[in-house]
Amino acid sequence: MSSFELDLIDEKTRAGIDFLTNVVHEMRRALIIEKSSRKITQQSIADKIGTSRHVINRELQGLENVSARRIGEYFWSIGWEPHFEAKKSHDRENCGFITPPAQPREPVPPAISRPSSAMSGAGGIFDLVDKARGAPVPVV
Amino acid sequence: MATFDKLLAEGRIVRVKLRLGRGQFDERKLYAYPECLKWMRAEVPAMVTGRVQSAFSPKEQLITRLLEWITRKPMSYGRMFQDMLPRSDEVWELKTADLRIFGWMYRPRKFIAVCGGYTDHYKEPTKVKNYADDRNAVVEARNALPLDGDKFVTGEYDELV
Repeated sequence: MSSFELDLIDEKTRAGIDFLTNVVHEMRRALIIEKSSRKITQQSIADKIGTSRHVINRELQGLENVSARRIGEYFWSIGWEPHFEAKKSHDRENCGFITPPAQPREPVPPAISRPSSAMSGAGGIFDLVDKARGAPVPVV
Repeated sequence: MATFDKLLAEGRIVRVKLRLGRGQFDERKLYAYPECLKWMRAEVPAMVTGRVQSAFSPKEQLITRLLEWITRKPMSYGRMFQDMLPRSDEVWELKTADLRIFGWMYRPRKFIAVCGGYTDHYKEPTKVKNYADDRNAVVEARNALPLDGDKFVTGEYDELV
């Protein structure tokens, strides 16, 4: 055996950890930049947010499950703003959900000669077709 | 004596991989002695969070840190990764809140893990292990490995990590 894939946590947990790790790394990166240019410290961030340096330190160490609210507050305190965008994962199109098999299209009801007043009611032709899927609505 | 690849093929050292997502690449390598890999697989999952009270279980911490290592995320010296004293032994320690993994740097960005431990076991009042014992275990394991050429690399932190 020359290699082994270590798989101690499930996919769901891994997804959460991956995301949080990236967030915390971004928090640290921003602080490093601000520390060098503006002498911002963990204490000054804590003062501005209204918490203790201990809490900020734990969050930056990755010891806490940092809330979305705190992430916003943190970046606000150093004059940054987080950018978050979700996108569909093409690796996991169905995410474990069962996709129902494609249903054959219901045959279009045979053309019925109907008075024009039926077309002008609420919902018009679509209303009629939807109803036709359950119990056909006789159109006079 | 044998090449590094031969030792890998013989299973004396195992390349440890993690499932990587889209956009993640293994830019650092992680190897482990089979005993250390066994510790990661069998013992770490049974561990509970220690005195640091991390929000994450030891196995979650392990995967997080290894993923950071493999994908070449910044590793802050001291808190995440550091060389042990005396530095002349060239023994390195990969750290999480509740775990310590001891090994050495074979080449830049190639860490070989020899053994591991639970952080609280190194600290009073729950101390049952010594860092020195693990450091010595790494040196002994490295000395016993019939590896061709330089067994470890030396240099500045940023060059190695």
